[in-house]
Amino acid sequence: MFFRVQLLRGLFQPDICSHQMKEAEHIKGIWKRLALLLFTSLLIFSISAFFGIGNEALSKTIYELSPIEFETIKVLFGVGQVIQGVFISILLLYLQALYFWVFTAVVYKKLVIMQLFILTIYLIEQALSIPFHLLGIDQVSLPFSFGVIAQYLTENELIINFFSTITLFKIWSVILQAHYIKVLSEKSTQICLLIVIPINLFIWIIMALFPYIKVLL
Amino acid sequence: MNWKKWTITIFITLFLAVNFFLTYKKDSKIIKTNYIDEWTAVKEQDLILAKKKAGVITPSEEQYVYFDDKNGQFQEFLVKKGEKVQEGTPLFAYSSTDIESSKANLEAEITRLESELGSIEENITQLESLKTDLSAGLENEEEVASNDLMLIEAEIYDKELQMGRIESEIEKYNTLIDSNGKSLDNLMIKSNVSGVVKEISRNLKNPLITISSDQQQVEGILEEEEVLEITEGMKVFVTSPALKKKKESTITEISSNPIEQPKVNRKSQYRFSVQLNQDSEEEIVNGAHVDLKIIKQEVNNVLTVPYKSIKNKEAKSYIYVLQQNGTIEKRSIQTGMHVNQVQEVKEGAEKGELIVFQPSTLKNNAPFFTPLNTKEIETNLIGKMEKNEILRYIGRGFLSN
Repeated sequence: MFFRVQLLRGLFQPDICSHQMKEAEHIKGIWKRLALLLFTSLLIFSISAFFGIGNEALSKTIYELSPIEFETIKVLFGVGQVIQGVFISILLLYLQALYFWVFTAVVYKKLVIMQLFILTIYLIEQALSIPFHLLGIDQVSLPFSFGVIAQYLTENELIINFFSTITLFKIWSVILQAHYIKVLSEKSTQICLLIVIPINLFIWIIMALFPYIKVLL
Repeated sequence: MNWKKWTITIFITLFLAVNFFLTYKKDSKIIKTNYIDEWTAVKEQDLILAKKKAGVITPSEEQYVYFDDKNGQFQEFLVKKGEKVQEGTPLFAYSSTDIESSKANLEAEITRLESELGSIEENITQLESLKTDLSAGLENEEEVASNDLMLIEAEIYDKELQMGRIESEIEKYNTLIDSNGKSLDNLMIKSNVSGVVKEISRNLKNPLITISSDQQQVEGILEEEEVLEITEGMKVFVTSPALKKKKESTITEISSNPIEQPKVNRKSQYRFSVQLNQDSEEEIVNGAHVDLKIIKQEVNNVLTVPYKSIKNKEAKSYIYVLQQNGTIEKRSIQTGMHVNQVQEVKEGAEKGELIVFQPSTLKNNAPFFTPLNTKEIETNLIGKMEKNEILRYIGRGFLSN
C-alpha cells in the first residue's frame, strides 16, 4: 500500500495518517518533504538572523566599531545562527528518531517521517517567534510559552528558562509523538508516554541550560 | 470530537490571553528586548530660525521740491528728468523781475518818505525859531504871548510825533528791502540730497520736482501675524540674481500703521524696510525684486537631535540613548530651539552619543538588537579579517541563546 508523505495531513489528521503509515510498504515523497523542510528552516533562520534577533551581545560594540565593522560581525554572527538552526533541525529529525528506534521496534524510516511532522511544528514555532521578537519580546517571554507565568512566580533564572522552553507547540509535539508511537508500535499508552516524555524533557532541560554552557565556553 | 476540540481551543485562547495580559499590563516586569533599526548621533551645529520674504528695491528717500508763487514768478528748470544731482545742485530758478520792481517801488516810497521827513524837519525848525521869537518878545506882552507859546509848543510836539511815525515807516521799508534782498538770494532752489531727478512737473503743479535719493532700501510686506514675530533690528540677508554676493543688513523700520485702512474682514499688512549700504562694487536698480531671509533667532554650536527622536510625555521630553553596555536608556532632556526637523538639546545629551531615531515603545534598561544593514557591509573586510576571528564570531552565533 502506498503512503504519500503529506505534512499537513500528518499534523492535523494523525489518526488516519498513523494507521496508513503503519500499513504502508512503500513510502513516497520523503526526500521531497525533507528538502522542503530543510530549505524552509534555512529560510526562517536566515530571516531571523537578518533582523538581528538574538544578537544583543554584539550591541555592546556599537561605540567601539565603525559601522562597517559592526555590520560585518553581525553578518558572521548571523551565519553562526543559521548554522545552529539548521543543525538543530537535522538533529531533531535524525537523533530523536534514533532514540525512538532504540526504544521501539518501529522501522527507522517511519520514525523519521514522524519527525518530519515534529520538525514542521518546530519551524512554525520559530517562524511565529520572529514578529514577537520585533515587537520587543524576549526569547524568554514569548506568549505561547510558560515563561511569562514563570517570571511572575519566581526570580530564579534557571526555572524561568526551563519553563520558557515549554511552549504550546512543544506540548502539541509530545501529544503527536505519543499518538504515532502508540499506533506504530502497538504499545500501551502508558509505555508510549514513558518513552516520549523523558526525551522531550531532556531536550528542554538542555535548552534551558544552554546559556550557561555558553558562559563556560 | 467537537467537544474535545472546543476545550482545546478555549484553553489555548485563555492561555494566550493571560500571557498577553501579563506582558502588556502596566509595571509588567517581563523581560523584554528592544528592536532598534535606525539610530543617529547627537550632533553639534548652529541653528537658525529664519523667515523668507520677498522684497523690492526702492530709494530710501524722496525729496519733493515745491513752487511757492509768493516768492516770485517761475523762471526756468535747471535740471532734466533722469538727471543725477548732488547736494546743492540748483534745480530751478524764480524770476527776479518782480523783486526788482518791488525793490524799486520800495525805494521810491523811501525817497518820498524821506522828503516828507525833510519838510517836517523844516516845519519844526520854523516853529522853533517862532518860539524863540515869541520868548524874546514875551517880556512886553506876557499873557497873550504865553498862550501862543503853548500852542506853538503843542504843534512842535505834534510834528515831532509825525516825524517819529515817518521814521518808523522808513525803517519798515528798509527792512522790506533787506528781506527782498534775501529773496534775491533765494531765487535758485537747490537740492538737499544726492540722487536722481524722478519727476518734473512741467505744468508747475506741486510737487514741482521729485528727487529719489541714491541711498537704497529694500521694502517688503509683513502679514499681521508676522509682525508679532519680526522686530526692528533683526538681521537680514538680501539675495537676488542681480547681486553677485549676498548683502547683510538689518530691519530698519516696521511701520506701525497698516498699508490700507484697517477693516474687520480683511487682514492687515504692514510695510517694513531694510536699509542697504551703498556698495561701490555692485549697483542694483530701483524696482528690482530681491529675496530676503530674516533671521528670527540664532544659536551657535549647540547640541542637536532630530525632532523625530524625541518623545514628549506630559510636558517632558525624552530621548532613547544606546548605551555602551548594550542597553537602551530612556533619558529626559531639556529642549531649546526647534527649527524644522532639528531640536536643540540644552541638557541631557553629549556630543556623539547614539540615540534611537524614531522611538516607538521601548523598554528602559533593556538590551537592544539591531538588524543587518546590507548597505554598510563590505565583503572585503571579511577577507581582511583573521581566520580565527571569523570563526570566533560564527561560533558565537552558533552558540547563541
